[in-house]
Formats: sequence, structure tokens, C-alpha cells
Amino acid sequence: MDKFSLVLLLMFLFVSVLPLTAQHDTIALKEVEIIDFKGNITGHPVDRINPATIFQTSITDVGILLSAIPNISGVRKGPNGFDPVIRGFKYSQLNVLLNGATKIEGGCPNRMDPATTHVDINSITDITVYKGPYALKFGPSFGGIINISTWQPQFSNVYTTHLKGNVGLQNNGYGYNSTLNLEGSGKMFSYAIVGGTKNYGNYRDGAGRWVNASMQQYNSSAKVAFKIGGKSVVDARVDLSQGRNIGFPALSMDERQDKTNIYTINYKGTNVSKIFKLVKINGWMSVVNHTMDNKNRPISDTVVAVSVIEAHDAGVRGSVKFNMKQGTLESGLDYEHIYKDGKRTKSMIKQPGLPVKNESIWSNAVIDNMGIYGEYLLERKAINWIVSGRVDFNSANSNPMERLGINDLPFYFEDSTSSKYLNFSFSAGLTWKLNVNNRIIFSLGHGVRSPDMTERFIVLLPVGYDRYDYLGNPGLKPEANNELDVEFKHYSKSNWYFDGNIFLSYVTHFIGSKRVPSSIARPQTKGVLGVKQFVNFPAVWLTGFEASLESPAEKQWHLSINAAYTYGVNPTAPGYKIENGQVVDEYVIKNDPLPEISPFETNVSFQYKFFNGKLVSMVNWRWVAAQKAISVSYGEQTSKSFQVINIKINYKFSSNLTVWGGVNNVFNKTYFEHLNRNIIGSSAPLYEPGRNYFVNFIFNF
Amino acid sequence: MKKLTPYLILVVLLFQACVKQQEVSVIYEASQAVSAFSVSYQNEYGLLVDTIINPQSNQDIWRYKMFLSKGDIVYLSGKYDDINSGLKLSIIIDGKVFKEQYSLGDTVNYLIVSGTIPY
Repeated sequence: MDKFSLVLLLMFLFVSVLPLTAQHDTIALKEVEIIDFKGNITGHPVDRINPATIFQTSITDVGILLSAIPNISGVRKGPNGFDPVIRGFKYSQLNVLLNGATKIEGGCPNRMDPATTHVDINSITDITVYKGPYALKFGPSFGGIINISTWQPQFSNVYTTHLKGNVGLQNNGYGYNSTLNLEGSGKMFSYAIVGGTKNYGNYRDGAGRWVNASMQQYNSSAKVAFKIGGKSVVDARVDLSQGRNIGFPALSMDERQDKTNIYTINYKGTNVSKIFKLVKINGWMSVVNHTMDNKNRPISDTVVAVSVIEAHDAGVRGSVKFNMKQGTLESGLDYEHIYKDGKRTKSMIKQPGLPVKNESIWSNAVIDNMGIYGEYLLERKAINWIVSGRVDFNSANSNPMERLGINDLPFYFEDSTSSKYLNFSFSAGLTWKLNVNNRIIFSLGHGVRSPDMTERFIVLLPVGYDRYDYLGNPGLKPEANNELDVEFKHYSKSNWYFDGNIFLSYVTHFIGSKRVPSSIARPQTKGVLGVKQFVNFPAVWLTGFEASLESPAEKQWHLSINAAYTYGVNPTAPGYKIENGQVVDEYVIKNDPLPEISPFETNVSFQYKFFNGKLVSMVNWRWVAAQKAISVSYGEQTSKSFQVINIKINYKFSSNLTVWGGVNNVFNKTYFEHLNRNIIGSSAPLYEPGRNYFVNFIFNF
Repeated sequence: MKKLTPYLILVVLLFQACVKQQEVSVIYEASQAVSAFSVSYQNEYGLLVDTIINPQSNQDIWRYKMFLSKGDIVYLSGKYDDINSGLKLSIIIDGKVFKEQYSLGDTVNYLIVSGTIPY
């Protein structure tokens, strides 16, 4: 254990003897949502992560945490930055929100820092995932919404102060994480101050091979809320996070430094008038300064490349909720402004005179989206109805897309970068309450999303799964997801719970990629096969299911079983014949599976409580099938089946101290997830960590 | 004081985020030449400096010392026009040779030692 870990431990032990005020008289002002049994909002498929699970493991990234939900997985390129994939939808097909509104635009064109990475996992209080294109009130929804909640202001009749914290240690990827959270509240105000750090080294896979995936992260935040007039709450938040020296073995660069500042101000009024049940106004700005380089790569002996990117996401949203006839109508509007600018500097350190070349990655690129939405909820005895719709006006522009060659002459230049779209989305759902124990939910939705920054403006960078440089296309049409969900829920008389869901998704104007001839653009990255440009394909479809079974919660033991599968197909995908590292022919592939979709997976978890629940032991068995439904068009590789067993144990020493300990990958299996990218420059997969012992101390005063 | 303790702990924790970049000692060295040669090097300000060195004998060593951070680029190149003699360029980081090159009688090509200071 290093010095810092020791200091933290001593600090926490010292704090444990402090007499802090007890928790009492707390008044929570939380928005009331209509929840079906097992936490589902009526009419749409919804999943929740139990916030308690966050501190139960050695998980360091929100993306990994999300993968506990059936049919959610993540694209892995390094120790963090897991890019969530929900039912085969990924990247901008998913909408990631912080506290229902705030959005974050990552800096890296290769998505080493997706939005989820910029959120401190230890500050999360709840994660809700709305699968499908149904929850339109949160913004354009295409494949799903991930809503990450952090601090919620609470007020108390007497002044209270609470100190919470955790220290976690692990041996594989040796390191620690720690968080200290100070919260206080009175009748009219509430605050929280949080600080945390993570520091992990490289890890060994099951075969004992080192994987260069060390990381350092620092987080801090300050939040304050005031109650106004008994019915309104205003809060302001500042969240700061920094990542340093994070290794990404599957990318051509590592993260050297990432500074993210998130500023938020929120207003919430409850029952502010006879008409309005709820009024909400949210404003946010996130600023990401992202620096990455290839200095830890062999090629840096010849060319040292450093990319510096600035990404801003600012916006405002306002909504009102009121009774309308026998139902509830929520209506509002939102505006989001995304800005990105950045360049890559290449220093040719083996050449006389140390020539330096600057390349633009994004050049003052801007996307604006303004939306107006409405959602009507009607509860009846037998059937609950929900209908929602939204209209988005989306516009984008950038400085000319160009790449300069020798003597600064452009060999790729495109100055037609503006685009404007008007998108209509709608959804409808019903929950049919067959009887007290059984429900059927039907959901139908049409969600439209405009192309993102990368799809519009990227210039000759290898940002895809395959070995091609990619070219943005400002003329792309918006992509539309037409989806149908049917879900069946059953609560047995003995309180066993079953939830099964099937979905069918028909995506029109699907945004994929197609090779362009070298007369249009020549590749700029060593070892790639050519250049692909983002294009719209007429249509693709995806289908799959999720099923879960849970034993009654009140028993001394608890069993949970789930399974999930997704299959996606592009009916007419482009294929490429490759000989000696060159594309020599093109052809059409019929019914080519879509790339980067997780295979069939099942999880079985069993826990048993001892000593009236003071000691809880858990074992989890995860079996993942081989993925053979691979995209030939993208040169995707198959992956093998694997199974992993994890165990953990929890002991609650007192109301102030709880300890979790466990072993991940108990049998030290050598395996990789299908969505793990290959080690850069090779066909070797990025293996998952081998056996890992961890322990987490959780303090609460 | 007891009430202040949690705040102090928090401040200590937050200050942990302010980790200073570690500096290293870098020395550029040029040696073994017996007559004038040119060197070009990147200094601590990131500027490329060109200079002519006039050694009196092959025992003379030209040195440039500075402090840089881990990850910084180090670059030293030399051009020597004496076909009967040699030039040795070295980059020394924290007292250890990081990169070293020697050329003998090459009056055409630049001799270059360069790299990034390892993290």
C-alpha cells in the first residue's frame, strides 16, 4: 500500500470516532414518478441499478456498472471509458444524461472518454436506463436513455451534518479508490462537498500477461441547494474531474490529461400553483479539455503525436407537469449547443530541424438542437396509457474539413459543412393490468436522431472498429428507429418475480460506413486498408429479448437469474476482398450481421444472509456464449464462449462501517468480451483482468 | 475543532488532486569532434536552437543542461563536415544515458538523438 492509501485509511479511522450529528428529521423533496412493480415506469421498458451495488465491487467505471443490466454491455479500449451498448445501439444512438438534463460531450474522436467516464462513480445515487425510443421527454431518444443521478438535495428541521466515504483496494491493477462526501442540511438549505481519487496500475490477465491499463482520476464537487417558499428548490453544482496517464492499449494514443468541469443550475417547483404540479428548469455547461498522445508507443521514437481537444456542451431545458382531464401532461422544451475544436500536433523527431505538422481534428464544429416535447399519461383501472411526441430542429456547421499534405497543400477539402434537420419522434405505450399478478406492456416508438460530430465532421482518422480511416459526411440524413417492445411481468403469490421482454427494431437511414475510392481521399494512418465515409444505409433491423427471474426479497436467501440476446442485420452491406493488405474488389453481402453486438449472456446470482443480515455472502456465475454472428463488412472477429465466477462477502460492523470484500474471476480465467477492441496494431484481443481480490470500506456518519 | 475536522479532511483530500509534474534533469552532450560542427537542440522552452561549436580537441565536450517534465520531447541533432573524424551525441536523463549516437566520417546525413522522456 502506498503512502496516500495509508494516510486515507488513518484519516477514516480517525473520523470514525468523531461524534457527528445523527440523521433525523430529514425531509426529502424528490420528484414523484409513477412506478410499476419492480421499478418500471408505466408503459416503457425501464431498468434501474441499485445504488448500493456501486460500493460492493471494485468497479471503476459507470459503463461497467451498467453492464449488470441484461442486454447492456460496453466497448472496452482501456481501463475505463467503457462505451455502453444497449441492445446493439451505441455511441450517439444512446442519450446519456446527468440528473435528467445535463449532457457531456467527450473530447476523444475515438471515444476514450464517453460521457459516462466524466461522472464520478462514487457520487452516483441512481442509474435509470430507458430502453428503446420511448422516453422522449429527456431529449432525442433513439436506442435508449441512460440517466445518471447524483446528489439530490434534502432538507431537515434541525441542522445536520453527515460524513460518508469509502476506501477501496484491489490487487490486480493494484491500487485504490477513495471518496469523502460531506453533506449538510437545514430547514432552508442543503449542501454537499465531495472529493475522491482513483489510482490503479496495470493489470494481469488470466494467463499472467501484463496489460498496460493504469489510470489516475481525481474528482471533486460542490453542491448547494436552497428551499424557496416551501415549494421550490434551487440548486447549483460544480463538478470537476481529472484523468491522468490512462493507458488505452486498444487505441493509438493514451489519455495524458483530461480536465472536465460541469456547471449546473436547477430549479424545481412542486405544486407551485393549482394548475402546475411540477415545474423544472435546468441549465448546464460542461467543458472537457482532453489531451492524449502516443508517447508510450513505439512509434513515438519517430513521430510524437499530441492531440488537444476542447469540447463544450451547454443547454437549458424547462418543463411543466399538470393535470389534464383524467391524466397528467408533461410538456417542455430543451436546447443543446455542442462545440468542438482541436488539433493534433506531430513532431517528426527523427528528421533534421524537428519539423512539426498541425492537423485539425475538429475545426470550430457546432451542433445546435432545439426540441419541444409532450408526454401524456393516463392511468385507468385495467390499462395505463402513455403517449409522447417531440419535434427537434437540428443544425450543424464547421470550418472547412481539410487535411493538409506536403507544403501545406490540402489533399482533402470540403467546405460544404452546414446541415439543418427537422425531426419528428413519437411513442405510445400501454400497461395492461391483467390481474394483480400479471401485466403486459406494449410499447411502440419512432425515435429520430441527427448525426453526431464524428459522423458529420471527422477527417481521416481511424475511429471505427475496422482498419480504415474515417471521413465525416455533413450531408448525412437523420437516423430513425422504429421499435416495438412487448413485456410480460409476473409476480407470483409467493413473491417470485418474472420479467420477460422481446423487441423488434427497424432502423431507417441507418448510419454506417462505406469505402470511398482513393481519388476522393487517401488514407493517412499507417496500416489501414483505405478510407471509409459515413453513409446512410436504407434500413437495418435488430431483435432480441431479455428475461429475468428473482426470488422473494424477504427470504434469507436470494436467487436472481437473467438472460439476454440481441441480433442485428444489415440486409445489403458492402463487402471488400482484401489481398496483401489491399482492397482489390467490392461486392454486396446479403444479411450481414451488424458489428459490435454482444452475444447471448446469462447471469445467475445467489446470496445468503447470516446473523440477521449482518453478514451476506454472494456468488455470481456469468456465462457468455461465443459470438459467431459477426459483420463481414467490418472485418469483425468471432469471440469465444467463457464463464466467470465472482464471489463477494459483506459484513456490517455497525451503522457507521460496512466492509465488502471479494474475488472477481475466482478461477483466473483468460477471457475477453466480444466488444473489447483488439490491441492496437495487432489481432490480439484486449483480455479482461485475471483474478482480482478487492476490499471496500464504507463509512457513514 | 471537532466540527472542523471533517472539513479539514476534505480539504486534504481535495489537495491530493493537485499532483505536481515531476521534473527530471536533462543534459545534451556533443563530443569526440576535433573541429567546428553545428548542433540543433530543443530547449526547455520548446524552442529549436541552432549553434556552432568549436572544440579544441576530441576531449572537449559541449553540454547543455536543463530541467524538463516527464513526457517532454528531447531533441539533439548535429552536422559534422570533417570526413576524418567523428561526432557523438548523447542525451542524459537523471544521470543515465537515454539516447546516444555516433557517426564517423559521415558528412552527408544529420546525426539525430531524440525521444520523449519516459513517464
